Amino acid sequence: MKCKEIEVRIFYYLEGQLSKKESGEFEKHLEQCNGCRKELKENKKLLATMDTVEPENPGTGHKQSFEKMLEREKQGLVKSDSSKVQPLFWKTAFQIAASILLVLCGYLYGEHRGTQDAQLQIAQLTQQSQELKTDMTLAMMDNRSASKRIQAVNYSEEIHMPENKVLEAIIGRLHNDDNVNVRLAAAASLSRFQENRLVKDAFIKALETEGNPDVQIAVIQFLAYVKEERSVTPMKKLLNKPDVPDYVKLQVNEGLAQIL
Amino acid sequence: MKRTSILCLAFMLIGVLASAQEEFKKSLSGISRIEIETGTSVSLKKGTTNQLIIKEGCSNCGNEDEPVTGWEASNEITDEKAKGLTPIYAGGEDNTGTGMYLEQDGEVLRLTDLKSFYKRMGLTITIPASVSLKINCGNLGNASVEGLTNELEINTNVGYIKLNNVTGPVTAHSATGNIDAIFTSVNQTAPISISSSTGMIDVSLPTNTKASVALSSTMGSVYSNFDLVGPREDGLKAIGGNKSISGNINSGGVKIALKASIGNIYLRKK
Repeated sequence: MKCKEIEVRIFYYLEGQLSKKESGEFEKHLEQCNGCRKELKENKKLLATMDTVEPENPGTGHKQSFEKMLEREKQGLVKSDSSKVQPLFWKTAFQIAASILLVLCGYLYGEHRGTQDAQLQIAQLTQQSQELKTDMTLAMMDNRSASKRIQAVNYSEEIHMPENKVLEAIIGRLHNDDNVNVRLAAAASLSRFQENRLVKDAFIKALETEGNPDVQIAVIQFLAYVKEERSVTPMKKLLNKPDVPDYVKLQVNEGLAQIL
Repeated sequence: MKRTSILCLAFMLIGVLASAQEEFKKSLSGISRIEIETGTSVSLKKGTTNQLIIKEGCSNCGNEDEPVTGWEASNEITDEKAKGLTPIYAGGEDNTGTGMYLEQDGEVLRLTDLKSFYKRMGLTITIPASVSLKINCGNLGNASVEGLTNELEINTNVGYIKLNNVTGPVTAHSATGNIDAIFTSVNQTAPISISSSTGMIDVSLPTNTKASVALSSTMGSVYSNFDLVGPREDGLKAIGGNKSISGNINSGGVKIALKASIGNIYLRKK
Protein backbone atom coordinates (compact mmCIF):
# COMPACT_ATOMS: atom_id res chain seq x y z
CA MET A 1 0.00 0.00 0.00
CA LYS A 2 1.19 3.47 -0.75
CA CYS A 3 0.89 6.56 1.42
CA LYS A 4 -1.88 8.02 -0.73
CA GLU A 5 -4.07 4.93 -0.38
CA ILE A 6 -3.41 4.95 3.39
CA GLU A 7 -4.57 8.54 3.61
CA VAL A 8 -7.88 7.67 1.92
CA ARG A 9 -8.46 4.67 4.16
CA ILE A 10 -7.48 6.24 7.55
CA PHE A 11 -11.05 6.91 8.68
CA TYR A 12 -12.32 3.53 7.45
CA TYR A 13 -9.47 1.91 9.46
CA LEU A 14 -10.21 3.87 12.61
CA GLU A 15 -13.90 2.94 12.45
CA GLY A 16 -13.03 -0.72 11.71
CA GLN A 17 -14.66 -0.84 8.31
CA LEU A 18 -11.76 -2.38 6.38
CA SER A 19 -11.53 -6.10 5.53
CA LYS A 20 -8.98 -8.28 7.41
CA LYS A 21 -6.69 -8.44 4.42
CA GLU A 22 -6.83 -4.68 3.93
CA SER A 23 -6.19 -3.85 7.57
CA GLY A 24 -3.25 -6.28 7.56
CA GLU A 25 -1.72 -4.46 4.60
CA PHE A 26 -2.54 -1.13 6.31
CA GLU A 27 -0.71 -2.06 9.53
CA LYS A 28 2.22 -3.48 7.53
CA HIS A 29 2.67 -0.09 5.81
CA LEU A 30 2.38 1.79 9.09
CA GLU A 31 5.29 -0.21 10.55
CA GLN A 32 7.53 1.00 7.76
CA CYS A 33 6.18 4.59 7.16
CA ASN A 34 6.79 7.25 9.81
CA GLY A 35 4.69 10.00 8.09
CA CYS A 36 1.61 7.78 7.90
CA ARG A 37 1.92 6.73 11.55
CA LYS A 38 1.93 10.40 12.52
CA GLU A 39 -1.09 11.04 10.29
CA LEU A 40 -2.98 8.19 11.89
CA LYS A 41 -2.13 9.47 15.36
CA GLU A 42 -3.51 12.96 14.56
CA ASN A 43 -6.67 11.62 13.08
CA LYS A 44 -7.17 9.33 16.07
CA LYS A 45 -6.82 12.39 18.33
CA LEU A 46 -9.38 14.36 16.16
CA LEU A 47 -11.94 11.62 16.44
CA ALA A 48 -11.41 11.36 20.19
CA THR A 49 -11.88 15.15 20.55
CA MET A 50 -15.11 15.07 18.49
CA ASP A 51 -16.45 12.34 20.72
CA THR A 52 -15.91 14.49 23.83
CA VAL A 53 -18.03 17.45 22.50
CA GLU A 54 -21.54 17.41 24.00
CA PRO A 55 -24.38 17.67 21.40
CA GLU A 56 -26.25 21.01 21.83
CA ASN A 57 -30.04 20.69 22.44
CA PRO A 58 -32.48 23.40 21.23
CA GLY A 59 -34.10 25.46 24.02
CA THR A 60 -37.81 24.86 24.86
CA GLY A 61 -38.89 28.29 23.50
CA HIS A 62 -37.43 27.52 20.13
CA LYS A 63 -40.10 25.13 18.97
CA GLN A 64 -42.92 27.60 19.79
CA SER A 65 -41.26 30.54 18.16
CA PHE A 66 -40.53 28.40 15.12
CA GLU A 67 -44.20 27.48 14.75
CA LYS A 68 -45.18 31.11 15.22
CA MET A 69 -42.70 32.13 12.60
CA LEU A 70 -44.08 29.49 10.24
CA GLU A 71 -47.59 30.74 10.84
CA ARG A 72 -46.52 34.32 10.17
CA GLU A 73 -44.75 33.25 7.06
CA LYS A 74 -47.86 31.37 5.86
CA GLN A 75 -50.09 34.40 6.38
CA GLY A 76 -47.60 36.60 4.63
CA LEU A 77 -47.54 34.16 1.77
CA VAL A 78 -51.33 34.17 1.42
CA LYS A 79 -51.29 37.96 1.55
CA SER A 80 -48.60 38.29 -1.03
CA ASP A 81 -50.40 35.67 -3.17
CA SER A 82 -53.58 37.73 -3.37
CA SER A 83 -51.57 40.84 -4.10
CA LYS A 84 -49.56 38.98 -6.75
CA VAL A 85 -52.57 37.48 -8.61
CA GLN A 86 -53.72 40.89 -9.87
CA PRO A 87 -50.56 41.86 -11.78
CA LEU A 88 -50.32 38.28 -13.04
CA PHE A 89 -53.83 38.57 -14.55
CA TRP A 90 -53.02 41.86 -16.28
CA LYS A 91 -49.79 40.43 -17.55
CA THR A 92 -51.55 37.44 -19.09
CA ALA A 93 -54.17 39.70 -20.57
CA PHE A 94 -51.46 41.83 -22.10
CA GLN A 95 -49.72 38.76 -23.41
CA ILE A 96 -52.93 37.47 -25.00
CA ALA A 97 -53.74 40.89 -26.40
CA ALA A 98 -50.25 41.21 -27.80
CA SER A 99 -50.40 37.81 -29.44
CA ILE A 100 -53.84 38.57 -30.90
CA LEU A 101 -52.50 41.88 -32.15
CA LEU A 102 -49.51 40.14 -33.67
CA VAL A 103 -51.68 37.57 -35.42
CA LEU A 104 -54.01 40.31 -36.62
CA CYS A 105 -51.11 42.37 -37.94
CA GLY A 106 -49.73 39.33 -39.70
CA TYR A 107 -53.11 38.58 -41.19
CA LEU A 108 -53.65 42.15 -42.33
CA TYR A 109 -50.17 42.34 -43.76
CA GLY A 110 -50.65 39.05 -45.57
CA GLU A 111 -54.05 40.17 -46.76
CA HIS A 112 -52.61 43.42 -47.99
CA ARG A 113 -49.76 41.66 -49.74
CA GLY A 114 -52.18 39.11 -51.12
CA THR A 115 -54.58 41.69 -52.56
CA GLN A 116 -51.64 43.64 -53.86
CA ASP A 117 -50.37 40.55 -55.66
CA ALA A 118 -53.86 39.68 -56.86
CA GLN A 119 -54.44 43.21 -58.05
CA LEU A 120 -51.15 43.14 -59.88
CA GLN A 121 -52.06 39.81 -61.44
CA ILE A 122 -55.52 41.04 -62.40
CA ALA A 123 -54.01 44.16 -63.91
CA GLN A 124 -51.58 42.04 -65.90
CA LEU A 125 -54.32 39.69 -67.04
CA THR A 126 -56.55 42.60 -68.01
CA GLN A 127 -53.73 44.09 -70.02
CA GLN A 128 -53.07 40.74 -71.67
CA SER A 129 -56.72 40.27 -72.57
CA GLN A 130 -56.86 43.81 -73.92
CA GLU A 131 -53.85 43.12 -76.10
CA LEU A 132 -55.39 39.85 -77.20
CA LYS A 133 -58.61 41.59 -78.11
CA THR A 134 -56.71 44.22 -80.07
CA ASP A 135 -54.93 41.47 -81.98
CA MET A 136 -58.15 39.59 -82.59
CA THR A 137 -59.96 42.72 -83.70
CA LEU A 138 -57.24 43.54 -86.19
CA ALA A 139 -56.85 39.96 -87.38
CA MET A 140 -60.55 39.38 -87.98
CA MET A 141 -61.29 42.79 -89.44
CA ASP A 142 -60.62 41.61 -93.01
CA ASN A 143 -62.27 38.22 -92.66
CA ARG A 144 -64.29 37.03 -95.63
CA SER A 145 -67.22 36.28 -93.37
CA ALA A 146 -69.38 39.30 -92.55
CA SER A 147 -70.35 37.75 -89.24
CA LYS A 148 -66.68 37.47 -88.26
CA ARG A 149 -66.08 41.08 -89.22
CA ILE A 150 -68.98 42.09 -86.98
CA GLN A 151 -67.46 39.96 -84.24
CA ALA A 152 -64.17 41.80 -84.72
CA VAL A 153 -65.95 45.13 -84.36
CA ASN A 154 -67.73 43.82 -81.25
CA TYR A 155 -64.42 42.68 -79.75
CA SER A 156 -63.11 46.20 -80.11
CA GLU A 157 -65.90 47.38 -77.79
CA GLU A 158 -64.22 45.47 -74.99
CA ILE A 159 -60.98 47.38 -75.45
CA HIS A 160 -61.07 50.34 -73.06
CA MET A 161 -58.58 52.56 -74.79
CA PRO A 162 -58.11 51.23 -78.31
CA GLU A 163 -55.00 52.26 -80.15
CA ASN A 164 -55.38 54.41 -83.23
CA LYS A 165 -54.73 51.45 -85.52
CA VAL A 166 -57.78 49.73 -84.05
CA LEU A 167 -59.90 52.84 -84.53
CA GLU A 168 -58.63 53.19 -88.09
CA ALA A 169 -59.49 49.58 -88.82
CA ILE A 170 -63.05 50.11 -87.58
CA ILE A 171 -63.31 53.38 -89.51
CA GLY A 172 -62.15 51.45 -92.58
CA ARG A 173 -65.11 49.10 -92.05
CA LEU A 174 -67.50 52.04 -91.64
CA HIS A 175 -66.36 53.57 -94.91
CA ASN A 176 -65.60 50.62 -97.12
CA ASP A 177 -67.32 47.43 -96.01
CA ASP A 178 -69.76 46.16 -98.61
CA ASN A 179 -72.01 44.70 -95.93
CA VAL A 180 -74.52 47.09 -94.37
CA ASN A 181 -74.61 45.24 -91.07
CA VAL A 182 -70.85 45.50 -90.67
CA ARG A 183 -71.02 49.23 -91.37
CA LEU A 184 -73.81 49.55 -88.80
CA ALA A 185 -71.80 47.64 -86.21
CA ALA A 186 -68.78 49.84 -86.93
CA ALA A 187 -70.87 53.00 -86.50
CA ALA A 188 -72.30 51.68 -83.22
CA SER A 189 -68.85 50.75 -81.96
CA LEU A 190 -67.33 54.11 -82.87
CA SER A 191 -70.22 56.01 -81.27
CA ARG A 192 -68.68 55.71 -77.82
CA PHE A 193 -65.71 57.91 -78.76
CA GLN A 194 -67.55 61.18 -78.62
CA GLU A 195 -64.48 63.31 -78.04
CA ASN A 196 -62.20 61.66 -80.55
CA ARG A 197 -61.30 63.88 -83.50
CA LEU A 198 -60.43 60.88 -85.70
CA VAL A 199 -63.87 59.37 -85.10
CA LYS A 200 -65.72 62.64 -85.67
CA ASP A 201 -63.91 63.17 -88.97
CA ALA A 202 -64.77 59.62 -89.98
CA PHE A 203 -68.47 60.20 -89.28
CA ILE A 204 -68.48 63.45 -91.25
CA LYS A 205 -66.86 61.67 -94.20
CA ALA A 206 -69.39 58.81 -93.91
CA LEU A 207 -72.21 61.34 -94.02
CA GLU A 208 -71.05 62.34 -97.49
CA THR A 209 -70.27 58.88 -98.87
CA GLU A 210 -72.80 56.57 -97.21
CA GLY A 211 -75.75 55.49 -99.34
CA ASN A 212 -77.62 53.17 -97.00
CA PRO A 213 -80.40 54.85 -94.99
CA ASP A 214 -79.76 52.79 -91.83
CA VAL A 215 -76.12 53.73 -91.66
CA GLN A 216 -76.97 57.31 -92.59
CA ILE A 217 -79.33 57.49 -89.63
CA ALA A 218 -76.72 56.05 -87.26
CA VAL A 219 -74.19 58.60 -88.52
CA ILE A 220 -76.64 61.50 -88.26
CA GLN A 221 -77.63 60.50 -84.72
CA PHE A 222 -74.02 60.42 -83.58
CA LEU A 223 -73.12 63.77 -85.11
CA ALA A 224 -76.25 65.38 -83.69
CA TYR A 225 -75.54 63.91 -80.25
CA VAL A 226 -72.02 65.34 -80.13
CA LYS A 227 -73.29 68.60 -81.65
CA GLU A 228 -70.68 68.57 -84.39
CA GLU A 229 -71.07 71.86 -86.22
CA ARG A 230 -68.90 70.82 -89.15
CA SER A 231 -71.61 68.32 -90.10
CA VAL A 232 -74.25 70.97 -90.76
CA THR A 233 -73.26 71.58 -94.40
CA PRO A 234 -73.13 67.89 -95.44
CA MET A 235 -76.42 67.32 -93.62
CA LYS A 236 -78.07 70.13 -95.53
CA LYS A 237 -76.70 68.57 -98.73
CA LEU A 238 -78.49 65.34 -97.82
CA LEU A 239 -81.78 67.24 -97.59
CA ASN A 240 -81.42 68.31 -101.21
CA LYS A 241 -80.63 64.84 -102.55
CA PRO A 242 -83.69 63.34 -104.24
CA ASP A 243 -82.67 59.72 -103.63
CA VAL A 244 -82.43 60.13 -99.86
CA PRO A 245 -85.58 58.66 -98.26
CA ASP A 246 -87.91 60.96 -96.37
CA TYR A 247 -87.36 59.27 -93.02
CA VAL A 248 -83.64 59.95 -93.31
CA LYS A 249 -84.40 63.59 -94.08
CA LEU A 250 -86.59 63.63 -90.96
CA GLN A 251 -83.58 62.47 -88.93
CA VAL A 252 -81.44 65.15 -90.60
CA ASN A 253 -83.93 67.85 -89.59
CA GLU A 254 -84.05 66.56 -86.04
CA GLY A 255 -80.27 66.42 -85.98
CA LEU A 256 -79.91 69.94 -87.31
CA ALA A 257 -82.33 71.20 -84.67
CA GLN A 258 -80.20 69.52 -82.02
CA ILE A 259 -76.94 71.02 -83.27
CA LEU A 260 -78.12 74.57 -83.98
CA MET B 1 -110.19 39.15 -122.81
CA LYS B 2 -111.03 35.91 -121.13
CA ARG B 3 -109.43 33.94 -123.92
CA THR B 4 -106.18 35.85 -123.78
CA SER B 5 -105.88 35.32 -120.07
CA ILE B 6 -106.40 31.58 -120.50
CA LEU B 7 -103.83 31.63 -123.25
CA CYS B 8 -101.43 33.51 -121.02
CA LEU B 9 -101.91 31.00 -118.26
CA ALA B 10 -101.25 28.15 -120.65
CA PHE B 11 -98.12 29.85 -121.93
CA MET B 12 -97.00 30.48 -118.42
CA LEU B 13 -97.40 26.87 -117.50
CA ILE B 14 -95.48 25.74 -120.55
CA GLY B 15 -92.84 28.32 -119.82
CA VAL B 16 -92.46 27.12 -116.24
CA LEU B 17 -92.31 23.51 -117.35
CA ALA B 18 -89.80 24.28 -120.07
CA SER B 19 -87.60 26.29 -117.77
CA ALA B 20 -87.92 23.75 -114.99
CA GLN B 21 -86.09 21.29 -117.16
CA GLU B 22 -83.00 23.46 -117.17
CA GLU B 23 -80.87 22.20 -114.33
CA PHE B 24 -77.20 22.65 -113.55
CA LYS B 25 -75.21 20.45 -111.22
CA LYS B 26 -71.70 20.82 -109.89
CA SER B 27 -69.75 18.91 -107.30
CA LEU B 28 -68.63 21.10 -104.40
CA SER B 29 -65.61 19.19 -103.18
CA GLY B 30 -63.04 21.66 -101.91
CA ILE B 31 -65.56 24.50 -101.82
CA SER B 32 -66.34 26.14 -98.49
CA ARG B 33 -68.22 29.22 -99.60
CA ILE B 34 -70.66 30.16 -102.37
CA GLU B 35 -71.31 33.74 -103.37
CA ILE B 36 -74.36 34.40 -105.53
CA GLU B 37 -75.18 37.65 -107.29
CA THR B 38 -78.60 37.78 -108.89
CA GLY B 39 -81.57 40.01 -109.48
CA THR B 40 -84.31 37.48 -109.06
CA SER B 41 -85.94 35.69 -106.19
CA VAL B 42 -84.05 32.71 -104.94
CA SER B 43 -85.14 29.75 -102.92
CA LEU B 44 -82.19 28.13 -101.16
CA LYS B 45 -82.48 24.61 -99.87
CA LYS B 46 -80.32 22.11 -98.11
CA GLY B 47 -79.28 19.25 -100.35
CA THR B 48 -78.45 15.72 -99.30
CA THR B 49 -75.50 15.38 -101.67
CA ASN B 50 -72.32 17.43 -101.85
CA GLN B 51 -73.60 19.14 -105.00
CA LEU B 52 -74.70 22.52 -106.15
CA ILE B 53 -77.96 22.25 -108.08
CA ILE B 54 -79.42 25.26 -109.86
CA LYS B 55 -82.95 25.04 -111.20
CA GLU B 56 -84.93 27.59 -113.06
CA GLY B 57 -88.03 28.83 -111.24
CA CYS B 58 -88.94 28.66 -107.60
CA SER B 59 -92.00 27.95 -105.59
CA ASN B 60 -92.74 29.68 -102.31
CA CYS B 61 -90.29 32.44 -102.99
CA GLY B 62 -92.73 35.20 -103.62
CA ASN B 63 -93.01 35.02 -107.35
CA GLU B 64 -96.63 33.86 -107.33
CA ASP B 65 -97.53 37.18 -105.72
CA GLU B 66 -96.18 39.09 -108.65
CA PRO B 67 -98.31 38.68 -111.75
CA VAL B 68 -96.27 37.76 -114.77
CA THR B 69 -97.42 39.72 -117.77
CA GLY B 70 -98.43 37.92 -120.90
CA TRP B 71 -95.80 39.64 -122.92
CA GLU B 72 -92.97 38.26 -120.85
CA ALA B 73 -94.34 34.73 -120.76
CA SER B 74 -95.07 34.57 -124.45
CA ASN B 75 -91.77 36.19 -125.28
CA GLU B 76 -89.95 33.32 -123.63
CA ILE B 77 -91.38 30.55 -125.73
CA THR B 78 -92.30 32.14 -129.03
CA ASP B 79 -88.70 33.06 -129.59
CA GLU B 80 -88.26 30.70 -132.49
CA LYS B 81 -85.94 33.11 -134.19
CA ALA B 82 -83.30 32.23 -131.60
CA LYS B 83 -83.04 28.68 -132.86
CA GLY B 84 -79.47 27.80 -133.66
CA LEU B 85 -78.19 30.79 -131.76
CA THR B 86 -76.95 30.89 -128.18
CA PRO B 87 -77.83 33.72 -125.89
CA ILE B 88 -74.93 36.00 -125.11
CA TYR B 89 -74.81 38.35 -122.17
CA ALA B 90 -73.08 41.59 -121.39
CA GLY B 91 -72.08 40.31 -117.98
CA GLY B 92 -70.00 37.40 -119.20
CA GLU B 93 -70.14 33.93 -120.64
CA ASP B 94 -72.94 31.53 -119.72
CA ASN B 95 -70.87 28.56 -118.62
CA THR B 96 -73.63 26.79 -116.74
CA GLY B 97 -76.38 26.65 -119.35
CA THR B 98 -78.71 28.42 -116.95
CA GLY B 99 -77.72 31.96 -117.73
CA MET B 100 -75.33 32.04 -114.76
CA TYR B 101 -71.62 32.70 -114.92
CA LEU B 102 -69.67 30.42 -112.62
CA GLU B 103 -66.19 31.13 -111.39
CA GLN B 104 -64.05 29.38 -108.83
CA ASP B 105 -61.53 31.25 -106.72
CA GLY B 106 -59.79 28.90 -104.34
CA GLU B 107 -62.42 27.65 -101.92
CA VAL B 108 -64.95 30.22 -103.08
CA LEU B 109 -67.45 29.60 -105.84
CA ARG B 110 -68.99 32.70 -107.41
CA LEU B 111 -72.23 32.61 -109.37
CA THR B 112 -73.26 35.70 -111.26
CA ASP B 113 -76.68 35.86 -112.84
CA LEU B 114 -76.40 37.07 -116.41
CA LYS B 115 -80.09 37.28 -117.17
CA SER B 116 -81.98 40.38 -116.27
CA PHE B 117 -84.67 40.36 -113.65
CA TYR B 118 -87.31 40.48 -116.38
CA LYS B 119 -86.14 37.23 -117.93
CA ARG B 120 -86.01 35.34 -114.66
CA MET B 121 -88.80 33.40 -113.05
CA GLY B 122 -86.82 32.85 -109.92
CA LEU B 123 -84.18 30.26 -109.09
CA THR B 124 -84.07 27.26 -106.85
CA ILE B 125 -80.57 26.56 -105.60
CA THR B 126 -79.73 23.49 -103.57
CA ILE B 127 -76.46 23.39 -101.66
CA PRO B 128 -75.07 21.14 -98.95
CA ALA B 129 -75.27 22.47 -95.40
CA SER B 130 -71.49 22.40 -95.07
CA VAL B 131 -70.81 25.50 -97.19
CA SER B 132 -71.33 29.07 -96.14
CA LEU B 133 -73.40 31.29 -98.36
CA LYS B 134 -73.43 34.88 -99.46
CA ILE B 135 -76.27 36.02 -101.66
CA ASN B 136 -77.32 39.34 -103.04
CA CYS B 137 -80.80 39.35 -104.57
CA GLY B 138 -80.44 42.65 -106.38
CA ASN B 139 -83.18 45.21 -106.44
CA LEU B 140 -86.35 43.19 -106.47
CA GLY B 141 -85.50 39.60 -105.62
CA ASN B 142 -86.62 37.83 -102.47
CA ALA B 143 -84.48 35.34 -100.63
CA SER B 144 -85.91 32.36 -98.86
CA VAL B 145 -83.70 29.89 -97.08
CA GLU B 146 -84.72 26.52 -95.69
CA GLY B 147 -82.63 24.40 -93.39
CA LEU B 148 -79.16 25.79 -94.10
CA THR B 149 -77.06 25.53 -90.95
CA ASN B 150 -73.85 27.22 -92.04
CA GLU B 151 -73.10 30.91 -92.13
CA LEU B 152 -75.53 33.00 -94.19
CA GLU B 153 -74.97 36.47 -95.54
CA ILE B 154 -78.04 37.77 -97.31
CA ASN B 155 -78.77 41.10 -98.88
CA THR B 156 -81.91 42.26 -100.64
CA ASN B 157 -83.22 45.65 -101.55
CA VAL B 158 -86.99 45.54 -101.94
CA GLY B 159 -87.42 41.82 -101.61
CA TYR B 160 -88.12 40.05 -98.38
CA ILE B 161 -85.85 37.61 -96.58
CA LYS B 162 -87.27 34.43 -95.07
CA LEU B 163 -85.07 32.13 -93.07
CA ASN B 164 -86.57 28.93 -91.85
CA ASN B 165 -84.86 26.36 -89.62
CA VAL B 166 -81.49 28.06 -89.62
CA THR B 167 -78.86 28.21 -86.87
CA GLY B 168 -76.68 31.16 -87.81
CA PRO B 169 -74.35 32.91 -87.94
CA VAL B 170 -76.61 35.15 -89.99
CA THR B 171 -75.96 38.56 -91.44
CA ALA B 172 -79.07 39.77 -93.21
CA HIS B 173 -80.03 43.17 -94.54
CA SER B 174 -82.98 44.38 -96.54
CA ALA B 175 -83.60 47.99 -97.44
CA THR B 176 -87.38 47.83 -97.52
CA GLY B 177 -88.24 44.15 -97.28
CA ASN B 178 -89.40 42.34 -94.18
CA ILE B 179 -87.08 39.83 -92.59
CA ASP B 180 -88.43 36.71 -90.90
CA ALA B 181 -86.08 34.27 -89.25
CA ILE B 182 -86.86 31.09 -87.38
CA PHE B 183 -83.91 29.55 -85.61
CA THR B 184 -83.78 25.90 -84.55
CA SER B 185 -80.75 26.64 -82.40
CA VAL B 186 -78.23 29.43 -82.24
CA ASN B 187 -74.62 28.92 -83.23
CA GLN B 188 -72.46 30.55 -80.55
CA THR B 189 -69.30 31.06 -82.62
CA ALA B 190 -70.15 34.31 -84.39
CA PRO B 191 -72.75 37.02 -83.98
CA ILE B 192 -76.13 37.31 -85.66
CA SER B 193 -76.98 40.65 -87.19
CA ILE B 194 -80.25 41.48 -88.93
CA SER B 195 -81.22 44.91 -90.17
CA SER B 196 -83.91 46.46 -92.32
CA SER B 197 -84.48 50.11 -93.05
CA THR B 198 -88.22 50.19 -93.50
CA GLY B 199 -89.17 46.55 -93.22
CA MET B 200 -90.16 44.64 -90.13
CA ILE B 201 -87.92 42.14 -88.44
CA ASP B 202 -89.45 39.04 -86.92
CA VAL B 203 -87.14 36.60 -85.20
CA SER B 204 -88.05 33.39 -83.36
CA LEU B 205 -85.53 31.78 -81.05
CA PRO B 206 -85.74 28.56 -79.06
CA THR B 207 -86.61 29.32 -75.43
CA ASN B 208 -83.32 27.94 -74.13
CA THR B 209 -81.16 30.08 -76.45
CA LYS B 210 -78.16 31.70 -74.80
CA ALA B 211 -77.72 35.14 -76.28
CA SER B 212 -76.96 38.78 -75.60
CA VAL B 213 -79.46 40.68 -77.65
CA ALA B 214 -79.51 44.30 -78.75
CA LEU B 215 -82.77 45.47 -80.29
CA SER B 216 -83.22 48.93 -81.70
CA SER B 217 -85.73 50.54 -83.97
CA THR B 218 -85.23 54.24 -84.64
CA MET B 219 -88.88 54.98 -85.31
CA GLY B 220 -90.61 51.66 -84.80
CA SER B 221 -91.49 49.62 -81.75
CA VAL B 222 -89.85 46.60 -80.24
CA TYR B 223 -91.90 43.62 -79.06
CA SER B 224 -90.68 40.54 -77.29
CA ASN B 225 -91.87 37.84 -74.95
CA PHE B 226 -88.35 37.25 -73.70
CA ASP B 227 -87.66 38.89 -70.36
CA LEU B 228 -85.20 41.57 -71.43
CA VAL B 229 -85.97 44.80 -69.65
CA GLY B 230 -85.79 44.62 -65.90
CA PRO B 231 -88.08 46.83 -63.82
CA ARG B 232 -86.63 50.25 -63.28
CA GLU B 233 -85.47 51.08 -59.79
CA ASP B 234 -87.66 54.18 -59.62
CA GLY B 235 -90.72 52.11 -60.48
CA LEU B 236 -91.37 53.87 -63.78
CA LYS B 237 -92.15 51.87 -66.85
CA ALA B 238 -89.30 51.70 -69.30
CA ILE B 239 -90.12 53.35 -72.58
CA GLY B 240 -87.89 52.51 -75.51
CA GLY B 241 -88.04 55.50 -77.80
CA ASN B 242 -85.00 55.76 -80.04
CA LYS B 243 -83.07 53.78 -77.50
CA SER B 244 -81.47 50.45 -77.90
CA ILE B 245 -82.81 47.66 -75.74
CA SER B 246 -80.21 45.17 -74.74
CA GLY B 247 -80.32 42.25 -72.43
CA ASN B 248 -79.25 38.71 -71.83
CA ILE B 249 -81.32 35.66 -72.56
CA ASN B 250 -80.48 32.68 -70.37
CA SER B 251 -77.57 34.58 -68.81
CA GLY B 252 -76.10 35.66 -72.11
CA GLY B 253 -74.26 34.22 -75.06
CA VAL B 254 -73.57 35.10 -78.67
CA LYS B 255 -74.52 38.61 -79.69
CA ILE B 256 -77.74 39.04 -81.64
CA ALA B 257 -78.33 42.51 -83.06
CA LEU B 258 -81.67 43.41 -84.63
CA LYS B 259 -81.87 46.89 -86.04
CA ALA B 260 -84.67 48.62 -87.89
CA SER B 261 -85.15 52.23 -88.82
CA ILE B 262 -88.90 52.45 -89.38
CA GLY B 263 -90.21 48.92 -89.07
CA ASN B 264 -91.09 47.15 -85.87
CA ILE B 265 -89.02 44.41 -84.33
CA TYR B 266 -90.54 41.21 -82.99
CA LEU B 267 -88.47 38.79 -80.97
CA ARG B 268 -90.37 35.65 -80.08
CA LYS B 269 -89.94 32.47 -78.13
CA LYS B 270 -90.27 29.61 -80.50
